[in-house]
Amino acid sequence: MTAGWLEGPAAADAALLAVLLSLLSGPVPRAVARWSWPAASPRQGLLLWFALSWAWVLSLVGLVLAVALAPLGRPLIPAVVAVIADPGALSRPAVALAGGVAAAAVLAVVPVVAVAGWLRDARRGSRHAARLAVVGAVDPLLDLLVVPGGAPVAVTLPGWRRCRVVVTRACLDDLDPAERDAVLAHERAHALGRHDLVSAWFTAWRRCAPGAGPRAAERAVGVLLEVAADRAAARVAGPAATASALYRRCAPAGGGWRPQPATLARLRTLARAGAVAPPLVRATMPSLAAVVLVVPGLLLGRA
Amino acid sequence: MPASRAVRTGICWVVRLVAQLRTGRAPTVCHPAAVPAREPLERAVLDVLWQSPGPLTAGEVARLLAGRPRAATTVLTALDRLRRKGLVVRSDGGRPHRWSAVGTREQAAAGAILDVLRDSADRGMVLSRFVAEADDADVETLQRALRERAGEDSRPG
Repeated sequence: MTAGWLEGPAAADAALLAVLLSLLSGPVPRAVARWSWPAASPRQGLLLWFALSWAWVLSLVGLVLAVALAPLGRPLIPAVVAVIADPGALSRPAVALAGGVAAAAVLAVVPVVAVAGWLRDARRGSRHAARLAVVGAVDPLLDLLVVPGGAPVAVTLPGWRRCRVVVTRACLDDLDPAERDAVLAHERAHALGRHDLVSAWFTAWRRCAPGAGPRAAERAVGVLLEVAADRAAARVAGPAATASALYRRCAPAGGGWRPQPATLARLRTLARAGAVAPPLVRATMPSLAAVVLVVPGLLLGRA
Repeated sequence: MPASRAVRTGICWVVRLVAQLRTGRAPTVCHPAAVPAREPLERAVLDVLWQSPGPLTAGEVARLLAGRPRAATTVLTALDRLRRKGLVVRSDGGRPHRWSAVGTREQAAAGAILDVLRDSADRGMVLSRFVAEADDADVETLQRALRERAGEDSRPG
């Protein structure tokens, strides 16, 4: 059965998709993760990452379909159209049906894992928030939950309808007013932007996809979300206050600070804050996102 | 002309909708009206337990509650919810059960925050904080405060 199954246009498509899949599982995400442009424009950077992850999913779906529809001897997209238009013309309909079911399963696996992970985290976060809400009190002016505590902790808990920002009393009392405003604005940006949904998607991709690429993607997206929240904080309190709050929180008092790459990236971005990313930067990333999604589609749709 | 005015109104409506979608998602994070009605009662019950020197029954808690008077059964339901949250414990003796708070308000708060940080570190709950590197220092500070407080409580006199 295998001899002569995969030949001609189907073999070419399968080879193209396999190459694309291996590029998207390793080299491409790792290269984009080392790139500095996404940090200059986090929203476009996240769009690019989203496109890369969907390109990976669609490549895998396409590979499954290309193998299942190989006997038709046509490129992938015309073959799919032909099967939908005239299912009776298939020589082996069972294989095509199995391939279709497998392709649908592959398409659904990352979204399902993402939603399941988000729901689990939302449940845990709601439980924590319920306990903290009784121990502390909601401050309507600051729009957050304040609990007593000696350590300056400010966190955003995941939840279903809303993410709750919880801070300790020490965070409000012990920090400079400007730094405190920066920290609170940073957490608020995470909560209002629903960054928990974004991380849920990339965590799901990392869980479902082997390779160093999705792991690098998850880390890079985490940094981008922090940079985006830092930008919101800098708009409220100024980049200097945000940077100094960041530095004071993670630099140990006795010296000998070895900063993590994520923190360095955030400080570097804050140092450049106020400089609007040039139009070339802002246009490149969406263009790359479009290229990564559209060009394979065009190649697979050749008549 | 009416047509152009309709077009302008339509455009304004679309612009407002887009602006609302972009910025109006969950406009407040901890809107007081969104707090479930149970929380004030649970907080009042906890306040009573924190201020009392020894364990209390549900009826005694109901009598000591500030604000409008509540039935003992309502207080009992709140105490049960607090027990499931790990904030109060029930005595094992016969009925009527006596309830006491787990630690002081500060201890309960420190324990709750520690659980949040540990959940993120050990079980991978996605948690946003300002600086993730500072978690270890915060956990250390909170644990030290809990130990000191426990040491004070256990000292005689």
